[in-house]
Amino acid sequence: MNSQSTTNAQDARAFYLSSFDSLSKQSFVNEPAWLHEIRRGAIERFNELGFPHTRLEEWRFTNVRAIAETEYELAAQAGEYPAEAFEAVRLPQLDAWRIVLVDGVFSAELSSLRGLPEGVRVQSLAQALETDGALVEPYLARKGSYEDNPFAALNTAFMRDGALISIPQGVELNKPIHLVYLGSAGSRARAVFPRTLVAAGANSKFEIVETFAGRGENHLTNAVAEISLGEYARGQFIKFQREAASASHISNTTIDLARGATFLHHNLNFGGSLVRNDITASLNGEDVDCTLNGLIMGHRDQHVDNHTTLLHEKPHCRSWEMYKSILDDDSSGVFKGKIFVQKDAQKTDAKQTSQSLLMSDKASINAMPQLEIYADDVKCTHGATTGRLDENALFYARARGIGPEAARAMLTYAFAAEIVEAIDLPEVRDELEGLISERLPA
Amino acid sequence: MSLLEIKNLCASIEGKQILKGVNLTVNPGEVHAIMGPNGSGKSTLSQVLAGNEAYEVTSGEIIFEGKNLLEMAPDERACEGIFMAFQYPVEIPGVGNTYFLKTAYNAVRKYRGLEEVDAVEFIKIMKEKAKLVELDDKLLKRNVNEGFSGGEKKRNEIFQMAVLDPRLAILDETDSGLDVDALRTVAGGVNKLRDEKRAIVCITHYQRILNYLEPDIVHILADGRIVRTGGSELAHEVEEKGYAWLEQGAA
Ligand SMILES: Nc1ncnc2c1ncn2[C@@H]1O[C@H](COP(=O)(O)OP(=O)(O)O)[C@@H](O)[C@H]1O
Ligand SMILES: [Mg+2]
Repeated sequence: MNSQSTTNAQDARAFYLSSFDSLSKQSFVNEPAWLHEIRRGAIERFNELGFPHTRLEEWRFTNVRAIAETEYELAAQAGEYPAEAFEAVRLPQLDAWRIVLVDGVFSAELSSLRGLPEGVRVQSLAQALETDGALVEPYLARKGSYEDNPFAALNTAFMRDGALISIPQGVELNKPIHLVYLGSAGSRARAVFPRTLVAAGANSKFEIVETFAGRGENHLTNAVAEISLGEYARGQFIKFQREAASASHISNTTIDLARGATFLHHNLNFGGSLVRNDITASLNGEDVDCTLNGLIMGHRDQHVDNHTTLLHEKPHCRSWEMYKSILDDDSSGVFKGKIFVQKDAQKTDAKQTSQSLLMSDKASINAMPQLEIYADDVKCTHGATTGRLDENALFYARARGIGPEAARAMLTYAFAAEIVEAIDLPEVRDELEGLISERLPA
Repeated sequence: MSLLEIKNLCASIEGKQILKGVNLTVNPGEVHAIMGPNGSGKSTLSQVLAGNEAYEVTSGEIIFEGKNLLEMAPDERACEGIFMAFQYPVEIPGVGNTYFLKTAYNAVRKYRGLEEVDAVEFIKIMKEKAKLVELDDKLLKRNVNEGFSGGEKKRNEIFQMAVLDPRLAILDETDSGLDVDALRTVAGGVNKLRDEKRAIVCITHYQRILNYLEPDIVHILADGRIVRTGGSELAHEVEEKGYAWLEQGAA
């Protein structure tokens, strides 16, 4: 039915190895040696790891065979993205600097980056690698970011473009940055490997919205984001995942937080048929505040897996985590929330909550907290709840004249409200409200 | 035409028969009191009137303004003009009191062919009605009943009644959990909502609230049946002697 061929798992590896060899002789040939070293290390690691299977603890509930068996088109040729479709995802109400990539390639035409403050860089990663490799090198593929994850390794081996955001020490951005990864429509399964680098200097402040909006059938986004905040930097990062219904979306996000930094991450999932997000935050200095929030709205046969890891390395840090899943039809969700509190991390205050609302008999969720605490003077709590809409509350609303669908919609929205309210940008909150409402009982 | 006519109503929950043939007629403008011991089926009757599907009506009829109430969904009944103040009002985290009530108010208006009101106009209506039961403005901004004290919840129920302007209000133990001052305020609010078109059915265990409401007719519900009907003297009798003598009389 599709033009792409399928392979078995052994051949899957060979496909990427040979693709890497041919790209090494073409597109990668003019790259600096250090970058090629990184790529080579990554493809070797991928070769060792192979694609994950469900016998691995970290992949028990998520089967990626469909990805492994697809020979994606890897060539970076940007297709067309219709203007009205762009309008629908670019958050036009949001006064922001926009950097836009289509099929993994920077689009100067769709981007709007005028008026950035002195010293602030928001640019195509490919361009930055060409002109300022030295600036990028210290932040790219740091300390084994792909060691345990074959998808992160593949991204590192095949990444072509993405976004570099660098904010110098002391600079507080007065407008958010919207990073938009578009994918053109088409029935040929295509893979893109976007790479986002965010380096925020000490005492800086930023807000970044990242949108993934692929339109292609069966396409794969395999994204990596590396985010670092210097001492006392403050940042908010909002990810909207609204890929096409048949797409696969895999992402690996690492967050490094220095002393006194404050960071909020909002992981908002609407699209995709097979979705896996790994988010790892390292609290590397004292007095860090880190929030990881997530919202999963699953329907049809979507499968959405979120793995989060909070590494408390130093004393007096706070982490707050709230993941909410609303699962309808045959959809399934996975939440694994790991919190490691190292011996040195006394006075850690960590709270994790995972709540799931099952809207149908066939929807399901696997929620697994995992706490490993090596310090003795800490406050760590976690809780996971799964349930349905409260029948008493439904009856109460209906007894006041509210119709059955409206009552369900009201209560479902209420379930998600905490996640919406935690977002600090009103325009983004409105967009999120709209996206949630579209999915509510009509 | 009577406003409400209940004929030989039998209802059960989880297979257990609770109402065993209730007959009741309520006319516009009347205030009825239904008294009865705990477990006699007072809340069951309220819930069945409001349309709670957890209860099964096994036989009998409920006619409201000439229409068959049993064929209507709970929200339709509310839109038709039935309001039931819950004995245990439900907390709804994440839904603001104002938003909730505005949604309800507009749903009712739409059903009645009236134009929906916007947020500004609704706030005006709400502020005016809140005074009726001296409901603290702060509670309007909170989530529906969330963290409200027992008394605040009961005030909120009567406040909702004032806003939704029903034809028939069923107050299920609105007096329980209220101290003397709160009881006076809430009962005062209910009294202000009395008029010749509206009927009120006040369900209570104690005679206390009836001193304020002065019902036209008092019924005693025992073991799923109305066993006595009379004037306010019946309430005083219950106050003096308890319920035991009535149940014996019914047997
Ligand atoms: N969910 C239920 N399941 C089983 N029995 C119930 C349930 N709810 C109420 N009952 C029973 O129905 C009877 C009547 O209850 P109720 O109508 O609440 O009485 P009242 O309001 O007069 O105190 C009681 O015996 C009570 O235990
Ligand atoms: Mg009761």
